[in-house]
Amino acid sequence: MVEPISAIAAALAVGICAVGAGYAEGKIGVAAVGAMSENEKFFGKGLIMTVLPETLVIFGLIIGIMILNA
Amino acid sequence: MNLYPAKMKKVEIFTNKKNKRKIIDLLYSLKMLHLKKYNKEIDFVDLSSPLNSAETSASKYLKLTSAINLILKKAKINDDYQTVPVNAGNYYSLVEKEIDNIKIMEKLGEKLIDLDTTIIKATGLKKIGVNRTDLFSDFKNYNIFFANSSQAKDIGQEIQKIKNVVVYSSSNSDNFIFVYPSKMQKEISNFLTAYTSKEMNLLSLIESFDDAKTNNIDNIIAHYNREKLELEKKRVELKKEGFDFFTKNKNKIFSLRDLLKEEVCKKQSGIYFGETRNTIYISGWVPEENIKLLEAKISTLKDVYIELTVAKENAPVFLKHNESVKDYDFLLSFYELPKTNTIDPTAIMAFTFPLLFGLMLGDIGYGFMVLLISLFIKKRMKGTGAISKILTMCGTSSILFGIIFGEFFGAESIFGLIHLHVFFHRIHEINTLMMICIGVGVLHLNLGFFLSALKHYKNEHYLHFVGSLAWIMLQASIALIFLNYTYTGLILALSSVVLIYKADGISGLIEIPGLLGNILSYMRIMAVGLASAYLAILVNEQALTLISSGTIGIIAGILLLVAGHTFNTILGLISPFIHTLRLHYVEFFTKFYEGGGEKYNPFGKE
Repeated sequence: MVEPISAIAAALAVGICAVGAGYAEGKIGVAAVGAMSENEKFFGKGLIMTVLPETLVIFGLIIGIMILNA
Repeated sequence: MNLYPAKMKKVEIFTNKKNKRKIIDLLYSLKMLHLKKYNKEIDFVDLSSPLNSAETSASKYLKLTSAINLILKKAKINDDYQTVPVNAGNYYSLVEKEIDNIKIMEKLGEKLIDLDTTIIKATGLKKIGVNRTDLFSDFKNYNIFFANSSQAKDIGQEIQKIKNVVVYSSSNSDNFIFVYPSKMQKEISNFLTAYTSKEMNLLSLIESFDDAKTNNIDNIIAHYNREKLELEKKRVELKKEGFDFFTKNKNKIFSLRDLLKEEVCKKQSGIYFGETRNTIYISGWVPEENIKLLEAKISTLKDVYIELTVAKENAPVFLKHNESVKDYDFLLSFYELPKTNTIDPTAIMAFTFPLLFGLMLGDIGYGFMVLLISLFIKKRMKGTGAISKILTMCGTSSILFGIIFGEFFGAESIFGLIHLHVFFHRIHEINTLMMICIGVGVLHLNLGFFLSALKHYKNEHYLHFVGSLAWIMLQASIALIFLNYTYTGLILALSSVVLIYKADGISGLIEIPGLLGNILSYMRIMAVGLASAYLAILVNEQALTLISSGTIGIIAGILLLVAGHTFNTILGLISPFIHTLRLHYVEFFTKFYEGGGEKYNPFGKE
């Protein structure tokens, strides 16, 4: 059985990372869509730039799993 | 399996000016040469010009294309056709007559709209009680306006309160006439800004009735109604004749369009060439495998000299793959085509893309849904062949992983009838799944490093070749340290870091911590997969609770099942697709890929 405090810690690890990634992706996404509307060829580069902060959530997820397994 | 774009040769052709048309025809029929636009790179060679009558051909082509587009839209004819032989010159003059008729038909349509407006205005005047058009001819110092507004009554009541303004209106009409002294123009304009109404000078309106040659409003309306009927009849006749002609001769007309397009393309190609007083200079690129055929065909012409050189980096890129793989270059078109002489990962992506997609979705039910969606878009949407084939492979892979995970729409049985054997329980064995994802990531990334090494070896950049292998060695050395071969591991790791520094400089060293991020990024395979599986389980549990609660519950439960799994299917299609694409573009491609290539587009029939 998972300790309640561990569950909260795991949720915070993922949640706060997700908020950070979401904020960053939002900012980059606006610029990427703007560039794409000018030139469709920017799709690939725009996608790469937009999804870069996603890794933050993966880190959060790993920490979350580590907390739950501890 | 082609790991490189097709090899290209640069071709330069010099020929007598008299051969200009002949060589254009030959190159067009061969469809091998990607033309390079000549930019006065040679001092004594000027820019060439299009062939004679290029403009006439272009204007004929545009005229016919616009007529075809109009007919396709109005007559709702489909654009499927069979190419048949036609004589462009003779047949075009025949078709041109019909095109002119269609233009007349269009103009008649515009005139009919004008006539309708005139009739509406004349009828509006009649409704107010104006029976003759000469009633207002003596009002020289007054402005007389005919107006239309849904607020006619309000305007009528309010405007009458202004001194010296007279209003003519009717209770059953939105039209009204108001008369005021010319000097009150500003006051009336200010008043009308508060309302939505369309006004026009009545005397100008009456002048527009002049061609009816009568002052009687009834006669004017009758005159325009007669004209309308005549025009409508004529328009219907022209429409029938034109549409019938195009429908009956569809194949011939489309073939004529293609011929004209071909002619325009050939005549305009002159702008790519260079020329001196007697010579034409043509340059471009050809795939190496076609060189012999091109040389043999060109040598049939007199006074032609051809020079072949090795294509440099600016050569167009020709991705040549067999049927089962070639659709995956669609995924490269989202990104950038590889440069020539670099790695083309299409064949590898044909294997890794469905694999990673299937590993993420991993459900028999959702896999079938992806297959159905791919069939649907193939049948209903034109030009979606590539994406449909990719989705078919992704769906199949999802089904196979679904069998391993024992999942059917999140349940461990198919509709409660067939119990599935679970080979690997991804929901219960999260730690193992995590290790599998990291393993897949390590393999995928090292495949990227291996391709990078291959590319540098082929281009004889041996230092970078060693540098790419050092990245693989660095990971192996870290594994050795974890396996308690500490000293061997440390020595290997240090050597790898030195080699990376030698090959890539400081930027290589900075990227070393990023490698851990790249590997951990593959954990998204687990994250996306579990999110989809948990959502499916949640929908199933909630639906079962509802179903066991009575008759209304059964209906609500079934609705929840359908809505929930449809929603999860859409998520299960979009999310794994985007994340798989990302793993390729960000993690995999950054190890070896060099984008920015121009697509090989040979001069010839499309």
